Amino acid sequence: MQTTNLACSKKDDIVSEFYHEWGTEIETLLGEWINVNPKTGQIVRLKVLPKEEGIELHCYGKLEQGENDWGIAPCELFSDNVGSPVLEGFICNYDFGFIKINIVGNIKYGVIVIQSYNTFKDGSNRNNYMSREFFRKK
Amino acid sequence: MKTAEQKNKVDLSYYLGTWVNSYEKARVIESFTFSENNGKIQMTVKNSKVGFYSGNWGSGELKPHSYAPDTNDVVAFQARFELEDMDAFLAINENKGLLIIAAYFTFKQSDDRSDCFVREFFYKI
Repeated sequence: MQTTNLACSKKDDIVSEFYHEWGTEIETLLGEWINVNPKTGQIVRLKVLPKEEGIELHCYGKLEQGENDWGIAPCELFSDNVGSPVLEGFICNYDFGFIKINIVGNIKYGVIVIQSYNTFKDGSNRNNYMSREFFRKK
Repeated sequence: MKTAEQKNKVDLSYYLGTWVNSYEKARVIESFTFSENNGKIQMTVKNSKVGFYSGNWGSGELKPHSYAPDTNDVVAFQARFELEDMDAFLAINENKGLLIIAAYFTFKQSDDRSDCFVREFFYKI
């Protein structure tokens, strides 16, 4: 593929060949993942579900009593360079009206690392905050 | 429990039990168990089936570390194992439910092998 005419913001945006399929790692991601921190106040567990050629996330928030079903959010997938078919990370978001949560995930040595960026929209003066937690396959 | 190493009483029960490598192709350690014996914490290691060392680790004593000189918590450990043909120094720290081991291996004999470093992640079962 010709790359000389492609727009780029930096050198790594350009590569001589493109892939259109993700690696088989998607299969290993599918299933339920448990937060390894038993004292978490964030996402207590999540399910990675197949969706066409990608994935979607089903998260459950930790409550004082029980958990809160956040529902399902479709994910955008990422490799670590424009020429790699290997899935390295994903993003998705939830909007609950009073709060918007951007989820950034990556896979490292069998662990899903989830960063969440929490933006309050209710004027409550609560600080926007981020968290980073780890999940193991159930 | 209180360890002989700690000056203050610390609840280490959170750490006791078996921890499993999150990566199925573990480079060295497949799993390990922390147990308490007379106020000291022992670490018993199980090798990875696909790792570069297949000898017996046996058990080693853990030295606990707090976050700061004036805190009583335990957030990390160090351990040393004298193995058959190499020495292993393990720096272990906890992060949100994971134990992270940075392992430094020093071979006893001069040969073609490089002293090496391995970092692996473990969750409790």
